Amino acid sequence: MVAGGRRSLSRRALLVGAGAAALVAAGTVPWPAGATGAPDPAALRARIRASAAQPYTGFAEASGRLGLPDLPQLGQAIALFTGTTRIRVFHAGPQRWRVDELTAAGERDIYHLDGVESSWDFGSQRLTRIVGTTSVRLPRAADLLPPDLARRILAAAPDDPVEALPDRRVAGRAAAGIRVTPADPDTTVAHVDVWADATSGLPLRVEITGRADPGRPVLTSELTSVDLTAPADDVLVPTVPPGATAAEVPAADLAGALRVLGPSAPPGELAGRGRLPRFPDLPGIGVYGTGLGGFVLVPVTGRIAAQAVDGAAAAGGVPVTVPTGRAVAVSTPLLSVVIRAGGRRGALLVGTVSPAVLARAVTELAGAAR
Amino acid sequence: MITTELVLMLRRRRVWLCWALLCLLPTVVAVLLATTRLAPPPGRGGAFLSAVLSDGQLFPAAALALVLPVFLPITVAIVSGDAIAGEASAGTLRYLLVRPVGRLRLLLAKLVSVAAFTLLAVVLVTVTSYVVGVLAFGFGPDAELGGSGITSLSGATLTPLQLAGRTAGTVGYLALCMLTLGAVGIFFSTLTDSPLAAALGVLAVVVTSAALQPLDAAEAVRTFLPTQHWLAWIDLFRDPPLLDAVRTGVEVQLGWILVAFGAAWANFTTKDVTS
Repeated sequence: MVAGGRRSLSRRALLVGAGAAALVAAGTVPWPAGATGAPDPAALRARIRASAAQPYTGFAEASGRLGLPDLPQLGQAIALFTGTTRIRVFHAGPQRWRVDELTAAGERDIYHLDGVESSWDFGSQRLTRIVGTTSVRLPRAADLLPPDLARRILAAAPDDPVEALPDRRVAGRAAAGIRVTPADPDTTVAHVDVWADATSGLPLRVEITGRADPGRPVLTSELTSVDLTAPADDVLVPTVPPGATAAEVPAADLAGALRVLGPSAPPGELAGRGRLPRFPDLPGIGVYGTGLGGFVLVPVTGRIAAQAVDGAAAAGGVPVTVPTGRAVAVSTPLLSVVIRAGGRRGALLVGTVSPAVLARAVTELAGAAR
Repeated sequence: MITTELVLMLRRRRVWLCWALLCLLPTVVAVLLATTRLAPPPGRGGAFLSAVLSDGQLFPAAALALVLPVFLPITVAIVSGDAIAGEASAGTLRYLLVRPVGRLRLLLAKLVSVAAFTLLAVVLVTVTSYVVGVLAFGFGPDAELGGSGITSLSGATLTPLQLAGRTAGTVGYLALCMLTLGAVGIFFSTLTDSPLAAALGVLAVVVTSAALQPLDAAEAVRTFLPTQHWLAWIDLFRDPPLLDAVRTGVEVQLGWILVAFGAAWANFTTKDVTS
């Protein structure tokens, strides 16, 4: 009787164990991708770059592990690259969209309607209409959406070699993949993988892998559900709920703030990379290098630079020897940063190039300032 | 048998004590908030807590978020851990099984009883916190303007009907999440004669799951953790409501219930009962 009982227990336990294993397998084993009918990689890249007009509604999750240090005033922007961000998007076209950054305590939404941007923050119960535009702003959740991220990367690296990746299933759709491998030997980016809906070219998943750890992406963004139809008009129009505040603020006047600094004109070349004709309205700002290996020079006040150098050094930054002043380099799996302080003005160099390139650039910069 | 178990549950003093304590915590928080008018800053504290000062109708959501991480699991652990082990420790289990009732049927009756407890717990917290919230904070600015809606997380105003529907969805979802713990508790309850050990086992599952959740190294198993989807109901208060996370949460919870109840069945139906 006892032996029979044990046999039955064993059979039933096995049955339950097999059921549990089947449930786990159903949740983890990827579905076959199915046929995508994708064009060749170069044609798919062109199709992806031309997909901005494709309307869609969906939900995305972006996950980053860039290991950036916490910086005052930049907490929200840095969190986008160091944690998981839940994003909902309603995209009717390049001039009509809404992107919600979803948090456990509320949400922060951006509405873009025919050139006018408004933001809704549930926490502060405030709808803010942003008047005017600025050529540079801090990163926001909308920048991490696979379509925006993929198009921005492919636009920055139009000539880098591209190869096909195996198709995979993303958001319930068969997606065709391409891998862009930067030709620049000094970039921190090993490769960028993009999977897109083959017919519309809408990117559904993006993986950015750094050279420091080629086995695991440092930034992954995926639409986990998507509907390729235009959203209803009413979800694209912000409303001011009772009790909430409505405000208008001018777009950040970065040019004015920079003019106060009185920065010198950025050199035409740094670390062997020519300056691109970007942001001519922003004095002192210089963008150097092409493709996925570039960096930007940002002038800062001497006081802020000194604080940043001290903070970076305390956080494990590597000192860089410069002709005048002092400088510290910080490297993360994807971004390298060098800060130089000394005198009334300092400089911040940040980009997707190796710290050695930025160290060379800051040395040239300090030599020129002497 | 199901009716008998339900009646027995409703007659237990500890069950009513659990429900009373669950309703007491949000009430204390409401009184403190109403007297001090000091809500957590936006984006901090429990979900919805920063917004309840301006609209008491949001307090049920804030109250559910308050009791969800610790108090609700503790009460479910106590009640479910007692399901079989309580009978065994009281020496009534063998007499219960003498009756011409199958062990599977007894387990099912216990599961239904625990499900009724969790559903009533969530409903009672929702109803009392709505009453307390409206008494302490009023109906919100929309009422002053002649309306009766509340502001969704996305800024759009929800009508009373929409609010009722979404609150009902939240109640059902959280009851299901807690039933997962209930099923695990019943399984542990078949393994031991000690209700306390079974309840502690449930809490160990909760703590382990919550500890694994933020770990990058646990990424592969994260979606299967029972606590991972507990806050998905917040998406029901967005506009339009977002169902992706809730759907995944329901699938995972149903999977846990199936496996835990199956394990309880596999163990209990072949067990030599001597207590």
